[in-house]
Amino acid sequence: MSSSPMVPERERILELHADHALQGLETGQQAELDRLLEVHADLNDDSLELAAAALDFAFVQQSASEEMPDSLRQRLRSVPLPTSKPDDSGTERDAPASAASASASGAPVVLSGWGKLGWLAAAAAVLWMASTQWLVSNPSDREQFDQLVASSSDLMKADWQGTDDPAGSQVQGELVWSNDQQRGFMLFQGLERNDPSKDQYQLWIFDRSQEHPVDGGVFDSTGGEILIPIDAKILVKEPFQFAVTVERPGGVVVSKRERIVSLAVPETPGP
Amino acid sequence: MESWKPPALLDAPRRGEGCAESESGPLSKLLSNGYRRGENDRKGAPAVRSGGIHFTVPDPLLPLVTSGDPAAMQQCIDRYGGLVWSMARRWANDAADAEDAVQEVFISLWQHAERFDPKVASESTFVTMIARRRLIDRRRRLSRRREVELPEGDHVEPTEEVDLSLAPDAEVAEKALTELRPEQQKVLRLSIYHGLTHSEIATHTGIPLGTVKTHARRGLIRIREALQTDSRPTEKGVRS
Repeated sequence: MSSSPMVPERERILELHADHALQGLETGQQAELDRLLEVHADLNDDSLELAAAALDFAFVQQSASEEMPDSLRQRLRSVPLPTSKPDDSGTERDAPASAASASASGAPVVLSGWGKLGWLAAAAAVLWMASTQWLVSNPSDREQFDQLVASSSDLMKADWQGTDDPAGSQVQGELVWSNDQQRGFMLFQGLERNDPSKDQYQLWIFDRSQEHPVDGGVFDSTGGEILIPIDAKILVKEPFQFAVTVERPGGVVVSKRERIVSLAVPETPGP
Repeated sequence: MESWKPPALLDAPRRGEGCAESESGPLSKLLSNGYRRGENDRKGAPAVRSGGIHFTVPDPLLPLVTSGDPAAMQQCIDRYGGLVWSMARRWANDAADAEDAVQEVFISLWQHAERFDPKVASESTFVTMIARRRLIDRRRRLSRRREVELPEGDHVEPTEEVDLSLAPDAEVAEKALTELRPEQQKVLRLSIYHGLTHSEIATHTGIPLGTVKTHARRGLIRIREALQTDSRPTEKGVRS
């Protein structure tokens, strides 16, 4: 979104910095901030974010706390460490802005924007996360997800809603889809782990231009956070709902819809 | 780090006196190892004075992390794990979600460790900033609008005496908060501590959205000004 043209640019930057510090920015807002900072580079700082952080720290100190679980501490300590000094190349222009961009785009930043610690730290972190089944998508999925979110003017988004089916009762996450690019991704957390030898999840895209739901692809879940590319088998023109069912391994041509585990109804993209 | 103890701490009520005697308070949990009063975990750590009590502030670890010091990363986890965990628990729906969030925060911290500048902010504030970023990002990414649990009152009630020795920025910020207009304080508490969006704050309080944004922005600017005018003699608050 853009502010009124009557708002001076420097004032607008301040507004956006404050919004970023307190609640994050939407993709359009981040793009606007990046554009404005190209002109007003002297205002490119984290000072409001640091102010919010200092206050947050004070609040944390005043509130009741609980011990971090030992198991988590051990997991954190098991992260493979970088074994060489970082090089000086590839330093991000502004790590905070980078993270903010990712935030605004709705994309995880774990696999992008590595700073001076370099690829060793990145690789170590990725291996570690993969080993804990925290990430099951591959880096190219993440990169494509970033790219899709950043480049699509017609991006549809929707929250996943669970159902009474035990496999989907705890599900959270979102779906993004671009009609123009005929691409999309599903981000899930809490979708019950499946045994691929027994059953698999299958996405169905309900398209007003089609008589039957479109097969969006078969996938598996680890039970943690997963990012799945949508694999629409035919052209999707007017999607209005997405549904995930449990089907036999390999999926089916027509679902009996015996087990619907999650639904998503996208918002209509803005003009 | 130099003895950059802000004057505000010396002028503040002697809340630190009681808390400093407590090794089992919340900060001891938050900053669970090597960050307690008197623990000289790194040679050369300067002592700062608060309300007549001497604190030992350990040297920052992030520069060592940047240089690839494995021990520093472990110490960082020990030092800030409790802080990050407390923040994550506040933002996450449940413990499992919080654990994932904590992992994301530390990954991000390793990524951005080289951007820490002790002349700009204390290490604890920098870590808190990175944690907030990740937690905000995570919530937006997952489109997770957890059920908003609003406080009974506007205040975050202390549950135990706390040790502020390691958080001079927080001390300054907290003092500056008390000097804001009540509605600005309210908005900032709801936003920063309770994680409410501006829209949620407007809904909860009945304050028009535009006014919420104004209160938040002006209040935050006042906090920033207080931080930038504390006694540290360096170019605070400005990123290169």
